[in-house]
Amino acid sequence: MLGISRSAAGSIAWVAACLVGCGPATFQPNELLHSSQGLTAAQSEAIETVLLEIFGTPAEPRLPELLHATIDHNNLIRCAGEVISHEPGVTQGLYGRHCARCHGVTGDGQGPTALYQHPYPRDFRRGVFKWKSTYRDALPTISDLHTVLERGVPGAAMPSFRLLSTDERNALVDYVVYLTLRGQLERELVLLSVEELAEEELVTVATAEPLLASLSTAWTDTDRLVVNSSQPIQNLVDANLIAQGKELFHSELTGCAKCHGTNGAGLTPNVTASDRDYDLWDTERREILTASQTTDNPRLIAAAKRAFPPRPSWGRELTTVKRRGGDEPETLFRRLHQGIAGTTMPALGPLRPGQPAALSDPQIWALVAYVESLGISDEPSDEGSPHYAASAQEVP
Amino acid sequence: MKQAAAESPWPYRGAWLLCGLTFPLIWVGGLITTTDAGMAVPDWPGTYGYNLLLYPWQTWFFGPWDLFIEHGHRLLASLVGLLTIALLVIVRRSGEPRQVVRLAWIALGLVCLQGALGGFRVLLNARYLALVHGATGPLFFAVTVLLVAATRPTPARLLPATRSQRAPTLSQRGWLIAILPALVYTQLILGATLRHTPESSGAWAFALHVQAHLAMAAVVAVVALVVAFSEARAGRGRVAALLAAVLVGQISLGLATWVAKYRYPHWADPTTTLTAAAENAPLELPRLRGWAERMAPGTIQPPTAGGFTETTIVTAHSAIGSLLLALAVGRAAGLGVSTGRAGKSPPDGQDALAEAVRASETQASGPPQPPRRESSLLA
Repeated sequence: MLGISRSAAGSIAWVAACLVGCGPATFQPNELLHSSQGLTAAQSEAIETVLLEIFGTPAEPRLPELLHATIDHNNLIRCAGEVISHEPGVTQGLYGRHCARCHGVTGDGQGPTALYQHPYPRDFRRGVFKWKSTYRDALPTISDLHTVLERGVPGAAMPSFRLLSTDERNALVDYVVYLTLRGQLERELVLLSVEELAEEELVTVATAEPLLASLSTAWTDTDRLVVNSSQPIQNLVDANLIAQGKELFHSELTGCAKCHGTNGAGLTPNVTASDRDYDLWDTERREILTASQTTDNPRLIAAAKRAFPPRPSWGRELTTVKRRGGDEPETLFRRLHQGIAGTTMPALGPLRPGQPAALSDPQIWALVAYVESLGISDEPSDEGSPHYAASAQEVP
Repeated sequence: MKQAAAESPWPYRGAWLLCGLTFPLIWVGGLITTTDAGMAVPDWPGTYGYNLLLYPWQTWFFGPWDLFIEHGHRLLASLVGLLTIALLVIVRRSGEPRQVVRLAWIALGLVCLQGALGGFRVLLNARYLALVHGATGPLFFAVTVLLVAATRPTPARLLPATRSQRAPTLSQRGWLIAILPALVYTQLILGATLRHTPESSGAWAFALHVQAHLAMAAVVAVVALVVAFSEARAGRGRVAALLAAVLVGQISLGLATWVAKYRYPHWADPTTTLTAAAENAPLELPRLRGWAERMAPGTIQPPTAGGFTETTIVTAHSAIGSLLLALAVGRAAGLGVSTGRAGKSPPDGQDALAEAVRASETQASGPPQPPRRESSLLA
């Protein structure tokens, strides 16, 4: 349940802010990270100064030269600041208008409405995204971000933004990349301060630039890291393929039924509190909450009090619900191949080309056929999407 | 008071027109908040440098959606403002009682304030002014309802009572009827704070607003249902049915608004409760399973941001709140009224709420033709 005292304090702050005109929105430091890593106030302040120098503010964002290949500056300007139109039909402040109430001004997934959402909105700052076509540890492609914007996430609060113009969606995607890079750099700087610098040695823009260059390159390389099947899409209504998939689903090798239940019914009758799984974001919250109970670090205790309550992850029931990341066969193939980044859903294929894997591509297709046969999703296609079939055949 | 002037049907007709136009104005205003179109026109009182009334209608009518509704809101608001001035002139020239003239002045003051709030919301691009603007609109709507009640040319017209005419005590039921408008208006303000929460606000602050809104919804629902029940027992079945129907509709819209915008909260997700229940209560599974299969949030497609369904539900929830306020005010106006029989309730079926019932029935067929007034009870 929600803590009224925390709510009351926040509300008083909000009312006070409103009385003085709400004030400009600011990027918030990753307080959980800073406090859990034991940063001093001076170290945190130095990191904030560097981030301000490089990325600017929500109202006046900056784009360093080395990010120009990744992000269009005009798109950034279009998404930043307050919502306003200076000519008919051209809206500025797109991020504030469409995203910030859930994902937060900083992209920390802690916007005002986030607490009551299930699942919590995505925290961009780690650079970890669930619904993507790339290898597990890789960033998503720009196209993946577009797909989520266009389609939304079934069962979650993330809506489809298909009514926005392509230009507006392009701008929003660029802004999400901008916020992600900012969060990634903040994390790198925190780790650098803790692991490599002496306590009195503070980070500077010069320290940060090589890190930022490396992070930026990772975003431009994502198209190379898209997962493709080594064979064309299978006939997913083939009874033999489905039977093979069912056997794999219930095998020890894949362990699918342990989380998704027998026949994908989502029942996990033997789950106890100690067996519950948490995703990457909730694991961090749990660890910090646990640490805060035994520490006398007031900063960590305060950060833990403000943190969202961690929630366990459950294996999705597969018989009645829409898949959050999409129902298309090629999407399911990739999800089974690489698992879901940031969650305990494991990869069944190799984590990089050429590495060993639990299952071969034909076996993964058999699992796809079985999972497709369980769901209420659209009828499985014999041929899949023409685009995927063509691209799959090009893969040696 | 002159007899000829007192018999004029125009105050009543004018009040009706004003009330009838204010409701769609509130609806469009809510639509602007829902679609965050408040800054689609960055200047005020003009529109992109044009005089408001001279802005090219083709650009407005066939232009972007947010421009269409924002400029349309301004045009409709201007019409309502002019009508309010006209109504004040009419009630003064018709020799209406002082209370009615005072009400018309209050309406004019409110509409001027409302226009200024809307203007400064744009000029300062201040979201908190949008909140105040959104909270003042229903107040003006309530005053127009009072004007309709006060200008009704029947022996039971519902004029605000003078001090000497006021009933000395109210029954328990009377108290509930009297406080219902205040409760509904408080709930409207709480709803407005939810809708206008700044992006930079904290999640815990928003949570408090949600809890306050839900708690007040429960209070309003209980009081309104008791009022509706007592009305039914008093033989005002139509009034009771209307109040209950609007209340039930509003609560349903509130739930639908939440699901449309945020989907199911964690504790209400049947797929989660299904799995969680498996740990301790396996016998509950079949029942939960059935619920999950029918209502699981995952079985529905994601909403479309700015889509017709979401926009309509959210805006309707905002507008029907104002309608509930109008009904509550209309009914409360029947308490401390002067009908020529100080301290007594108006005759059955002749109060302002009944008037509101008639409003919904006659809106499609134009302003009603008032019966000829036989006498002015307060003259």
